[in-house]
This record gives sequence, C-alpha cells and structure tokens, in this order.
Amino acid sequence: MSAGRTAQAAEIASLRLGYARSLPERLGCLRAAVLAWGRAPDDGELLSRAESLAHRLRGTAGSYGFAAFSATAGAVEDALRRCRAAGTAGDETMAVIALALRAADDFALEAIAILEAGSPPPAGRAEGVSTLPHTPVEEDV
Amino acid sequence: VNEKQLRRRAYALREAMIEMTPPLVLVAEDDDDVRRLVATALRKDGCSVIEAADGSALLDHIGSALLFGNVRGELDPIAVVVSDIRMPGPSGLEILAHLRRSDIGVHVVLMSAHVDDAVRADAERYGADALLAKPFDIDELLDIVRRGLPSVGLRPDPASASS
Repeated sequence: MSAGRTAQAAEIASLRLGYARSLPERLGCLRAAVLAWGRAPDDGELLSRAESLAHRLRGTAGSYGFAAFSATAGAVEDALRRCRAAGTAGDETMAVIALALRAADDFALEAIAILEAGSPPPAGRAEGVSTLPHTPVEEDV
Repeated sequence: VNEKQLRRRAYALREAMIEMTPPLVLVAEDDDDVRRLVATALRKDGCSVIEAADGSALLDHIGSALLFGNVRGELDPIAVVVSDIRMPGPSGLEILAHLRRSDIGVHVVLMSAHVDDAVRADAERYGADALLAKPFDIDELLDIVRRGLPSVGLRPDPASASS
C-alpha cells in the first residue's frame, strides 16, 4: 500500500472510530425517542422523530461500514413504519424494537473495542464492524 | 522573443496549470456525518472538495465555481457533483435538472436512502451519471467519482494531496 493510500486509510479509520464512539449516544437518543412515542402512541410527531432517527442511523452507520449496526437500526425503522401503517404500537412490534436496540448496543460496543484496538475484525466475528462492502440491509423504501 | 511567442507560452502555461489543478468535486448532503465521510475520502483521493449542507448552498457553490472557473479560462471547472436527493432546499433531482437544462458539463452522482423505481426513473430521465443507494460503500463512491473525472492520468497522487 502506498503512503498516500495508507494516509487515506488512516484518515477514514479515524473518522470511523469517531463515529463509532458516538453510536451509544445516538442509540440513547433513539431509545428515548421510541420510549417517548411508546408513552404517547397517538402522537404522530413522536413517531416521526423516532423513525427519522432510526432511518438516519441505518444509512449513516452503513456508509461508515457498520453493517450489522445499520441492519438493526433498519429493523427498528421498519418496525416503526409497520406501526404507522397499522395505526397502533403492538406488543410484539415493541418487543422487536427493544431486541434490536439491545443488539445495536452490543454491535456499537464491539465496533468501538475493535477500532480502538486498531486491528481488523477477525473472520466471522465483529458483526458491528464489517469490512466493505457491507452486507445488504432490508430494502430501503 | 516576440509578443506572439510570449502569449503562446503564457497560454500553454495556463493550460498546464488548469490540467494540474485537482479536480473540483461539490458534495451536497444534509447529514453531517455522511458529508464528512464522503468529503474526507475524496480529498484524500486527490480531489478538491467544496461541501454544501443543503440544495441552496449547492446551487450557490455551483454558481461561484462556474463564475471563477470561467474567469480562469476553464471550460468545465466542476468535475463532479455528488448530491443527496432529499435535503433541505432544492432536491438533488431538481438541481440535476437545472444543470442539464443549462447545458453545464458536469458528472452528477446522486445518493438516496429511498431508491425505488420512481427515483431510478427520475434520475435516468434527468441524466444522472450514477445513483447510489444509502448505505453505500465509500470505496464504491470513490470508484464512481474517479470514472467521472476528466484527465485521470493528470490527477495528483493522494500522498501529495494536502486538503
């Protein structure tokens, strides 16, 4: 790898680490938004905010190479959209959202640990940090 | 050395300087994290990048780049526009349509998290050179932009790119 490519990779790696470190806080915002909507399921604005946060996490995290994290954020977004379509927040869907958020927590922590260690993820591990190209998430609507 | 020769040399020098200038890429994206990732990767790849957080800023930057580029004698001062479709102000599709109507020679790469048949049809109809679904692989974006750059052989080595 040339010096230029190495510098480029290091810069991108630094950006990825910075973004990974911000994931727990972003997840906290998403969790708070989902909880707020869960307490007032008739509030369309709260639902839109939660959807928007999940949608943004899905796209941005995926572009930073965190495929598994992106997929779990996508699962939250899809579940919220199903709720909007159904006009209600069913227990089953809320359980799916809670599970996805917990999984996303794990992926974020794993991603941070791996990137801070400065080594590429071993094969078959580190779902939160995928080497590009990322695994596809469910089709965007 | 007569005046004609001096002018010829000055013209040749100007042409050489224009060719050695890093290709200008405009990046429009309202998500700061995605914009930072794309802009950093492009800069490290040897491009000169101007960032816009919405459609209005992108239009302003296009106008400025064309104005000052043409003053410098560049026919196509903007090499590539990389733009989100949905963002505040004019959308990426609207800006693409404006560019094509104005016959401005620029390679346009659109990005969207909402790629469906209708968006694909619009992008094709308005003449987008590429449509990238989010989330995307940053290396894929770099490849697409490189394909849109003129005079690829003259692009500076990324090692020498400082911005």
